[in-house]
Amino acid sequence: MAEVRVHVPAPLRSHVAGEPTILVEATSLHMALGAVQAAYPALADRLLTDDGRVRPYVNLFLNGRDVRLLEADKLTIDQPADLTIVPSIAGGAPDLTREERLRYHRQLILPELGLEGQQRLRAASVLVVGAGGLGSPAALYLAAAGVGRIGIVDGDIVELSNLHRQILHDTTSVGTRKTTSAKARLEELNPDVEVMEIPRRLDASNALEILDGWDVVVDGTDNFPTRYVINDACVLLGIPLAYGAIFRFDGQASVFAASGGPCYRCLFRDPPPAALAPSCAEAGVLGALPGIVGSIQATETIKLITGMGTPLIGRLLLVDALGGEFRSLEIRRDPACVVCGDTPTLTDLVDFEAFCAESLDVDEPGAPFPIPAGFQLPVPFPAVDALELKEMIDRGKRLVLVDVRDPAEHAMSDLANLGAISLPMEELEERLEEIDPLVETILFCRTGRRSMEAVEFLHSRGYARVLNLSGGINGWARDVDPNLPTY
Amino acid sequence: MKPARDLVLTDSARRLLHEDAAREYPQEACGALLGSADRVVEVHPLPNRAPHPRVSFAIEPCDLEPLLTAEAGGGLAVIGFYHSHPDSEPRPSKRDLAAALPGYWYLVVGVDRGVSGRFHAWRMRG
Repeated sequence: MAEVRVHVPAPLRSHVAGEPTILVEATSLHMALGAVQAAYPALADRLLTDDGRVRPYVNLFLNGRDVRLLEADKLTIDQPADLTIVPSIAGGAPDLTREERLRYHRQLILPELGLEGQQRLRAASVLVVGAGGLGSPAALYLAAAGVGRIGIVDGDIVELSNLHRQILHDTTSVGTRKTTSAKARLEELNPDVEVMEIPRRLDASNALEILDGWDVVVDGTDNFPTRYVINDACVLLGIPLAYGAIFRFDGQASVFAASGGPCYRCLFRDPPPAALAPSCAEAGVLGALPGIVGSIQATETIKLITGMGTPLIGRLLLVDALGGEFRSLEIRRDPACVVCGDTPTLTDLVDFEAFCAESLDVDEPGAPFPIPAGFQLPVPFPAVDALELKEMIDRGKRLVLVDVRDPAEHAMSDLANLGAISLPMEELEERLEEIDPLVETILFCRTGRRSMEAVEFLHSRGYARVLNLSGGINGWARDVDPNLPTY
Repeated sequence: MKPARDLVLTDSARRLLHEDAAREYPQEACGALLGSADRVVEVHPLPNRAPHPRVSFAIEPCDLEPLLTAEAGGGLAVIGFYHSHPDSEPRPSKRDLAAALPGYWYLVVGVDRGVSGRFHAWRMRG
C-alpha cells in the first residue's frame, strides 16, 4: 500500500472540510478512488458518475499525467503518489442584447447559425474592397447580418451612372466619396456595425497594410491589377477571400486563399494584357447581376465566419444571367502556383498597373474575367463567331485564316477554299514569322477552345491583331457551310 | 455575486493582465489568478483552447494541472481565473456564469479595439 495525496481544487474543498489535500492508501488508481468515495462521498459524487467514470468537467492527473492518457497497467500505485483534481474552466462572449435578439431573430432561429454564430458575426471583421456593384450588396447584407466591423476601401466618387447597380449609394450621394456614402447607408441600416472608411485605391504598395488584420476580404473590384493584388495579399496574409466577378451577363464567385484551397492564380496564373481586358464601361453590365454575385459573396463570408455549410472553396460558381443557369466547376490548388504553391516564387506583391494601365478604375461596372480552359463562356479575348467572320469575308476585309489543329484533323475538314493555312499548335512557336502582325489573323480549331489558347499565346508575343473563331470550324459548318463535315 | 472590490490586485498583476488581454486581441485571453484569499499577487496567462477563441475561452486541464500541483507543493494558490471580452463590456456572460465554479474568483477584462480597459470580478456563492 502506498500513500496517495489527493489535491483538491478550491471549489471542491467544502466537501473535504476545507482541506487542500487529503490522504488515502491504495495500490491502484481504482482503489484510491474507492477510498476517496468511502471517506468523502460528496467529493466523489462531484468527480465520478454513477458508473464510476470521471465526470466530463473534471480531470484527474496521477503524478502529473492525465489518467485518461495512461495505460491500464500504469494505474497501479506502488510508491507515494500525487493525484491532482483539475476542473475545466471555460466561458463565452457577452450575450446578445434584447435589441440584438430582435434584430437578428430570423437568423438566430436557424439552428446552423444560432446564438454562437451571431456572436461570431459580431466579433468578426470584414474588408470590402470596392463600394461598387459587387461591394454594395455584399456590404449591405453583411451589415444587416450583424458583422461587427466592416471596412470599405474605395477611392472613387459616386457618379450618376453608378446608381443602376451600386445600391449602397443614391441620387443624393452623387459627387460624394463612395466610402462616405457607404458608411452613412450601412450605419443607417445597422447602427451596431462599426464601419471604417478607407478612401484609397488599393494597389501593391498599400495592399498588405490595408488588408492585414481583417478576418475575411470581399473582392468587389472590377479590374485585373487590383484583383491579382488582393489575391496575392490574401494568400500572403492567410486571409480567406470571397471572390466575385461580373461581365455583361455572366458572373463568377468562389472562395480563394482559404487554408488548403486554391487561389485565383491557381485558376489564372497571370492577368491578361490590357488590350484584352476591356473595362465594363465599354462592355456594359446588367445591374441586377452584381446583386446576385455580391449576395453570394456575402453568403460565403457569413459561412466562413460562422462555420456553417460548405463554402465555395475549390469550386468556381458560374452565373449565366441570360440563360438563367448556375453551374459550379471543381478547381484545385495548383502545387506549382507561384503564390500559394508548394514552393512559391512570388513572396511580395507585384504591381500590374503599367501592364494593365487602361483598366484601372475601381468601380467601373464589373471586370471581365478569364475563363478556365475547357469552358465556353463569353470571353474577353477578341473573337468572332462564324456569322461575323462570314460578314467580314463578304465585306472583302483583308484577313488570314489559320488552322491550328493537328494535320490529322486538317485532313477531315478544312477551310482551304477561304485560303486558310495550316499551322498546328505545336509548331506555332517556331513558325511565328509566318504570321503577319499587321494583318487581321483569325485562328480556328475544332470548337474554338484550343485556338483561344493560341490567341492568348500570340497576344503574349505581341501579335495584337490575332482573333479567335469562337465555335471553331464546327461552328462554321453549322452556321455558314453545312456541306462541311463536322466531327 | 459579491462586489468586485472584494478582490485586490497588485500593480504588477494588473499590468500583466492588461498586457495579456491586449496581446491576445482580437481573441479572448485567459489565465489563472494566483495569490491567497482575495489578493491576486500574480497572473498566469494560459493558452485559450476554445475552438472559437474570438467568442469563448477554455482552459485545458493539462495546462492548469502544473499550477494546481505547484499549489499543492506549497506554491501560490490558484484563487481564480481571468479572461478578456474583445470589443465588449467586462460583464459576465450567461456562459461565463453557467461555467463558473463556486470557490474561485472570476475576472473579466474588456478590450476596446486592442486596448485593454475596465475589469470586473465576481465569485459564485457555493
